[in-house]
Amino acid sequence: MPSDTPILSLENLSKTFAVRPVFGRASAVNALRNVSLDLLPGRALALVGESGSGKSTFGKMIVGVHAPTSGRILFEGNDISGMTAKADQKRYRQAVQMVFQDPFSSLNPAHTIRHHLLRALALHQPEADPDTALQAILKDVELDPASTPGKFPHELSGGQRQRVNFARALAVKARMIVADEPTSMLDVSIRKSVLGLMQRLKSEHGLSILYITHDIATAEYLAEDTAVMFRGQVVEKGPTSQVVGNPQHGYTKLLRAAGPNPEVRLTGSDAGFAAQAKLVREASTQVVSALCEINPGHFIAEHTEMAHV
Amino acid sequence: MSPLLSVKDLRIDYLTAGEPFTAVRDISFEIQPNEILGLAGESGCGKSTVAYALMRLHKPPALVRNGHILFEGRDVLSFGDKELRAWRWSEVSMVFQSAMNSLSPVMTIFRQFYDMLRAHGTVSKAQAQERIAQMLEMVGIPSDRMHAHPHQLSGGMRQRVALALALTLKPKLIIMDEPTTALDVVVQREILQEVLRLKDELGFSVLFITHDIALMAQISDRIGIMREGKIVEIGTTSQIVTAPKRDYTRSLWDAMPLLAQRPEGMAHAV
Ligand SMILES: Nc1ncnc2c1ncn2[C@@H]1O[C@H](COP(=O)(O)OP(=O)(O)OP(=O)(O)O)[C@@H](O)[C@H]1O
Ligand SMILES: Nc1ncnc2c1ncn2[C@@H]1O[C@H](COP(=O)(O)OP(=O)(O)OP(=O)(O)O)[C@@H](O)[C@H]1O
Ligand SMILES: [Mg+2]
Ligand SMILES: [Mg+2]
Repeated sequence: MPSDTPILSLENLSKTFAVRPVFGRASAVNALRNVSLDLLPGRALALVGESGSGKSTFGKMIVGVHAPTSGRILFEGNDISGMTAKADQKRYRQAVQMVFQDPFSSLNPAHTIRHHLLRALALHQPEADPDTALQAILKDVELDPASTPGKFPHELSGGQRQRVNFARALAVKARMIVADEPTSMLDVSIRKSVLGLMQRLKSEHGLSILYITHDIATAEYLAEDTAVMFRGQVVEKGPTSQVVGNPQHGYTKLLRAAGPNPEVRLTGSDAGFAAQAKLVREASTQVVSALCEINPGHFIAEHTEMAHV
Repeated sequence: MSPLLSVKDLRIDYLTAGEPFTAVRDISFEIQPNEILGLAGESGCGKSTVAYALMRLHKPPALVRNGHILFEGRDVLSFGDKELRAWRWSEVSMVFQSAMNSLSPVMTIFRQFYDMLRAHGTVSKAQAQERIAQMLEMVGIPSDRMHAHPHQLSGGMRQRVALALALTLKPKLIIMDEPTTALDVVVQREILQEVLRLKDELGFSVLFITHDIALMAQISDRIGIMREGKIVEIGTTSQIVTAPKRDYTRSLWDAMPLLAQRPEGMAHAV
């Protein structure tokens, strides 16, 4: 990987959740198993992988929703768990903003867009003239600065609401955005325009983006680097052109091959795909013993031998 | 063969502060037994509004202004409360566009299945547990997760739970409104193949709503294209894919993001 200092480094992160049923014994869910990743300034890292593989958990640990069970998160070289001064914590919370999948859930239905953005501006840019700043930010995310401020969230489309969420990140002068499936609830044309916006935030504002998605095609569009997760581990990472264009790990290959192809009808009697997927899963779920650099910056996981039953 | 569902001249308004907004404009279509009808169209064209009305789940400000919905010849819009409760979920079920609308945040997954099972017949706790485990495993979720609350599951796991719930009572029609938006393509394909296998076995019908028209072409028998509240074209999948009559339908195909070069076969995927 290039030699820039990462804006964010995740070192050997693990997260175990305990699930306690009303009756019976508690069980543990190993959501993340010893994951290390770097995010470089002004670049986007796509995090793709199986549903339930730990992608959102990863994002939530970065923004402090969950604490790691073990491992460290370094922001510009400083361990965030060591930030005890209020000012440092505030600076970090402001620098790293999260945008969620469901554009409906993240805005308060009782408040106008003006209220949402002015609040963020007042807290983080008290020196700016609020109305001028508001207009500028709305223009920046390509929302109509005249009609948008007076609207309530339900009066906007999903794509417009997602733009408001990005506007909020600009209002607090975020340096990094964790975007958790920001486009998966949007239709194709709107999805493209939101991706275009993220691309611009990156190139014009120098924002770093952790882009969590299950849509590999969009990762190709936005992200310089891609990491592929499976059952709490990273199984392949490196430049997107290589990871997506020339996947080497069995799970990444499966993911690349499974995309919908309108020319092939799905049937209930095709057991071949499920059987193939099962084999790949069994192999990929084993502990990653080493990450092997097969091309400069392109790593694939080596797994410990499958236990013989 | 008589249709399972027949919709005639359905018009739905949203009452707003000003003029009412007509979201669905006199649409008519039928769904045959054991058929998958796809419904496509850009955001805001009225797909979810239709879906809610078919389940009789539309609430103010939505108002059905005109038309009929016949399910096996019975007039759904005139059902009384009791009839409606017995019909919903057991004969027709729905996977909502946002999985959180399908699930209660305060109840465990077990509880949500159990309540539904009990509302439609007597079932012991042990029987329920066995059935729920089976349904969860079918969508790739370990059965011990039935004791979790929705927030303890990932986004895609919640969506899979919603799908399992809709299949549990073996309804005759399942309305799926963007049922796989939170899933990776491997799990998506496995689950849809499982749905197709069950369909072959049980003979139910599906109304499949999605903005992924490539996926829609892979699974639907017929496809309807909606635009601004109207069905502008409806036909067999092969007709809609290879010989669309409307420019609008063609433009949907043209907008489809083409996957970059496909990696050669899966022969050496392991
Ligand atoms: N608060 C929690 N309590 C218990 N288990 C949790 C909690 N949050 C997440 N998990 C579990 O951790 C695992 C990883 O979940 P996560 O949400 O990170 O997956 P994901 O990769 O984002 O999946 P998806 O693509 O479906 O959103 C899952 O098994 C999930 O059930
Ligand atoms: N509660 C409401 N009040 C007023 N208008 C509404 C309401 N709900 C939906 N609408 C409008 O009705 C139209 C149809 O909405 P609907 O949700 O059915 O679209 P959709 O085709 O499902 O879109 P998407 O693909 O984005 O889910 C839209 O123009 C929408 O703005
Ligand atoms: Mg997630
Ligand atoms: Mg909808």
